[in-house]
Amino acid sequence: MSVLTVEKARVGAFANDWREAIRIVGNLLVEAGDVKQTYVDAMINAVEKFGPYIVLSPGLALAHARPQDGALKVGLSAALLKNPIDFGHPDNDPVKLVLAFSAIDQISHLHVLQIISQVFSDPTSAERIYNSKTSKELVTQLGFL
Amino acid sequence: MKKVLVVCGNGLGSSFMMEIMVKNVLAEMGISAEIAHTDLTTGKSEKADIYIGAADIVANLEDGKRTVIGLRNILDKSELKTKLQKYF
Repeated sequence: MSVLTVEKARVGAFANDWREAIRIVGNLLVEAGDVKQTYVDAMINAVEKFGPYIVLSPGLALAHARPQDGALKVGLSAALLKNPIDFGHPDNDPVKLVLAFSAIDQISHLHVLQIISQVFSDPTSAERIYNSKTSKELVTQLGFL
Repeated sequence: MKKVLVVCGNGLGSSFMMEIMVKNVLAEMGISAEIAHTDLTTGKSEKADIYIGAADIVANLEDGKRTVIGLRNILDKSELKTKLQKYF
């Protein structure tokens, strides 16, 4: 089974702030059985500790925590926000798409990151992703269908 | 050969993505270097010729002695290339 499925992707998700946005994608991982609830809190704590560096490029946040924070398998979830949200990043705000991934070791999730870095290093393909209208389209544009 | 250390908060997400980019860009420039990635805490005690990471993360490594490259958009190849060219 693919790490990102249509069930783990939302389009038009509403969040009031970045913490809520991370909870939305985090809960998609919890519902899929990829992580425990503790992992969602750890993703938020990581931003509080290290700052908004998870906002990798314009419009994109990639939330994650460590394997020992409650990860059960390699997983990826996505929420395209109805209202873009500021994470406090000096250059890449506002965030349109929040992704969350879970890693169980140092290696098994790397192919997932490779796909993400490839699609978002091309601004045209990033724009196509941000304009997705359905969950299925979002998963397809991200390269997982 | 220069050693490039790519650093992020936890050492398993964005640092790996940047490592791929650094490898590609240096290969395009025809330069061979030793490239590795790690978390911020380990990065503070590990020796390298150049440290690279998201700007707000690698700011923690600035001590006046280290060579530090902070990236604004970590997936932007041209930003990375421009900044790397100063040191190779």
